[in-house]
Amino acid sequence: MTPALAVRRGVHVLVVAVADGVWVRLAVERALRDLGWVAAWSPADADVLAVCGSPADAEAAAVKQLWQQLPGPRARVDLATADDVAASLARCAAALDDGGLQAVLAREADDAAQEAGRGRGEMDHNRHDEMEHGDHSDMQHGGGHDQMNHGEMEHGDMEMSGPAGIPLAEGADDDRDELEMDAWHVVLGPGLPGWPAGLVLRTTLHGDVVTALETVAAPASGSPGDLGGPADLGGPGDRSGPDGPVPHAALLADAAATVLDLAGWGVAAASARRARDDLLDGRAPGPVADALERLARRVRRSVLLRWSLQGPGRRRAAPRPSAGRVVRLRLLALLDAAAALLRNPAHPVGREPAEEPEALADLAVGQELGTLRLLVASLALDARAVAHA
Amino acid sequence: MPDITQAAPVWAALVPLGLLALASAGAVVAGVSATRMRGGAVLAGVISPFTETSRLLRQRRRVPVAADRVLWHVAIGGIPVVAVLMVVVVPIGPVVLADSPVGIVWFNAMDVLLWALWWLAGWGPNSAHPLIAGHRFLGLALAYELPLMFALTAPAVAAGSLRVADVAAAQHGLWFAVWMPVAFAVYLLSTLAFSSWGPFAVAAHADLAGGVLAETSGVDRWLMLAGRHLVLAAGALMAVPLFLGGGAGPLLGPVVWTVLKALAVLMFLELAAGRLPLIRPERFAELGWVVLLPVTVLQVLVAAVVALGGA
Repeated sequence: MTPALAVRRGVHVLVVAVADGVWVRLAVERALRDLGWVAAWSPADADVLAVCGSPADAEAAAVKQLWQQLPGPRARVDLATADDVAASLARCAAALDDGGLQAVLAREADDAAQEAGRGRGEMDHNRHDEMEHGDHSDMQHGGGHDQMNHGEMEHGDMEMSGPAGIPLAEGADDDRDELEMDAWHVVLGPGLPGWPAGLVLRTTLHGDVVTALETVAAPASGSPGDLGGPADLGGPGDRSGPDGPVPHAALLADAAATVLDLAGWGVAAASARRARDDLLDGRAPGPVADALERLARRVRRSVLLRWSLQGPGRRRAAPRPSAGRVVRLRLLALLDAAAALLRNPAHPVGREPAEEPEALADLAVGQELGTLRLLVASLALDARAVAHA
Repeated sequence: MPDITQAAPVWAALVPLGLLALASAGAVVAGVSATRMRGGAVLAGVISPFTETSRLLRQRRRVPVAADRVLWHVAIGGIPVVAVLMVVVVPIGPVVLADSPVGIVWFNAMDVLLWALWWLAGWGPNSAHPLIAGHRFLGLALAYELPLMFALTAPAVAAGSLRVADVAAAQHGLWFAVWMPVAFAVYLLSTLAFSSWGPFAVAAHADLAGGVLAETSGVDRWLMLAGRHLVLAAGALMAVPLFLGGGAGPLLGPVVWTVLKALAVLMFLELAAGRLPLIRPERFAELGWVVLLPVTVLQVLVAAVVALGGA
């Protein structure tokens, strides 16, 4: 550990994993825990952008947009493999304190912002003066995670452009609940907290309710060898190579931690994450399995989680399980499967063909955006991309 | 009429500082809790609010394209201001800054202002996730506000006054928290809710990329994060005269007791973060209207009967 790391505390890191970056992400998250750094929830909150894996073209464009949204002082690190994580983060900490470098980056951001402002000003003359008089140093391209959506719509629907060239919501064809609703589109992709690597969804929303869902990009299954998982990540022994049961259990625990995080249960998520890190550190699987079983019991018993996700239990059985109920059952299945894999490495868990991301639409339509996030997380796509290779 | 003096207006300058000190204590508790959860050291948690402050004050501010700057910054700056305005009617021992005869109504009016501020914080940045989060807060607010109003009414009815000092003085011997547990519990829940904290942090959570916080950076972000702790601290401070007997207590003076009681309530509120799953607004709406509203009305009825019997 370098002195720079000892000085710099509480750095917020936006961890973006692209399709082949799952193992790298785990190594980065482990390193963050050791350093006492924090995973950011959005680019505006981040000091460091950590790109895990090797982005393809479309992903690289999205990553670039995320990078442009870091307010600065900022640093970016591209990690193709998990070998060099600690040293790379140390270099980021040093870069954040490098005044000269930060001045250059700030000028770059200002120039990019001015360019974006000019581009938008031409599109919409009403807002032109605001762009010019605005706090030009901070004007940025794109409005957060919907930035890709803005970019996409501008080219397709120029005649509908609203303020600053951003299209207004359009009227929906179908009226839900006899209310006339506006429909708008939000693209969900890399950069969101707990978002699976390689997945991009285009949602149509009525307010906050998902009415349509389109998979723009789905995670491609690679072979574990391609996933950048170095031998030392899995610890010693043939059972714990990146494709063995122990790393698989770690990925399942990781998925459970993500669901718990999105459900707001930080303590439980931290337990799941500790189990994951213990497995990747090569600890004995027995005690970890105990911990996971304890956690599963706790989650199963939580009246509050059950009520919050699936509502009061007295309702008659619906013809189809509700989305919240599916999330809770999948979460429990993830924890059970992780523990079962550790108890019995030959356990067939998670090897059966799982639901495809396309099946999401059936459950997610009619749900609130947050429930969609939970549904996506409960699919454990990161674990499956590795397991089903 | 209890023995209470109204402080000279010049003391108003101390109110924000005092509240900030209380909120800092709360932020330290929250920081230690969050750091321990992640497996970090206690010391790192103690200093985490201050490292975060130094980080954010050195960060540049970012404004998304076509943001509604005026309304956004009204929201960002408004939350700490509302927190300070909440506590001007709270007596600290024998002194109060504004000895209003309708102090409880004033407090209630300030917490209703938070509806507008949280929603504007979502509207302002012109970004999908904050916008949805702002509306989520309104959904939550529709569920907690009426029960909160009745929870605030119960101590006022029991004391026969809307003046906060009168309410504190009316609890000689027996705290309202003891014989009005429902009102007290609803008050604490609502404080968490209007601070967007703990299981009610639905408007500022990871499932919406940080919600109303998603686009804030630098000093804007600091004001919003600090504003949450300030509002929590204000709620904790108000709980003391309303439910915990005000400054009454043995040995130590009323000022010390007020601060100690506020710290205890604040610690309880701060520790709620991360320990319970989020309560989704649509669920809480059901609970708020079907359960909490009737039971708080009953609580007011009980308070009224007791007050009439005692009169």
